[in-house]
Amino acid sequence: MMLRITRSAFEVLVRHAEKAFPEECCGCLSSPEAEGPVTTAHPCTNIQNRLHEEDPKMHPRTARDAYHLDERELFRIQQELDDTGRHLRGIFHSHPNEESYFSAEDKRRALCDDEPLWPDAHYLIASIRGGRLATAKSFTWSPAQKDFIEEPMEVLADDA
Amino acid sequence: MAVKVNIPTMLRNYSNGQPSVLVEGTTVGEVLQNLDQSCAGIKERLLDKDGRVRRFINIYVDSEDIRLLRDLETPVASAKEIRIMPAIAGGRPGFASPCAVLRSP
Repeated sequence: MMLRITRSAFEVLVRHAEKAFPEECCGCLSSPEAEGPVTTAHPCTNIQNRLHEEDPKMHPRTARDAYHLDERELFRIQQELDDTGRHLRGIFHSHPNEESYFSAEDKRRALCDDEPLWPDAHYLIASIRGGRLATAKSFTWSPAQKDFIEEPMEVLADDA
Repeated sequence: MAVKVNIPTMLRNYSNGQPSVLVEGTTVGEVLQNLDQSCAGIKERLLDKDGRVRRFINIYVDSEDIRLLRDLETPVASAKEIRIMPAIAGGRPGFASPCAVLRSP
């Protein structure tokens, strides 16, 4: 697997991540084709602070340490993509002042009985330091290794 | 009576790439049981061993979350579609879990 994403889509998610700093951001990635490059980043609301306020025992983390993508927004995005024949291809989120790697919590929340909730998804993680992008890496589920592994990522010119 | 079940892109390996399938059933629970006939293996991703919807799975009848309706008993006779949406969440490393805090002196 390899994530290919257009420059404009990449810049949208970077702006979202930098604006959310020092909190984590999240969103979705889509494309017109099931296999082609990601052409759109959909910034979404991280509702982790709300979950924490409602039930701090169940949700001990705040948005500084975690993300939970607003499910109503996800519903609307998926519905819009289905209506227009486009495809949800991946998920992005940020790690403020941390490296871009697939953390234990990322893995715990992406699995259900050791199987991925979103098989075939690209998980792009942006490391934001001091409010600016440091690095961005993409990960995907490896059925052979039973783990999320880093995959190559290429940012494409929009007219490519 | 058949109802349209929308499969999210990233779970379409269970539906041979099909974005939706028509499934017979009168309640969400029946539809999910029958869904496994055309999407072999998907039921285990959606329901736990006790037959309940998994915690990180959201299922909508039209635009309503079934947890706010009658859960798996929600009737689908007048529904246009059912939509399956796994939750999306995670977190950065370096967070002390509540268990670790409780164990600390």
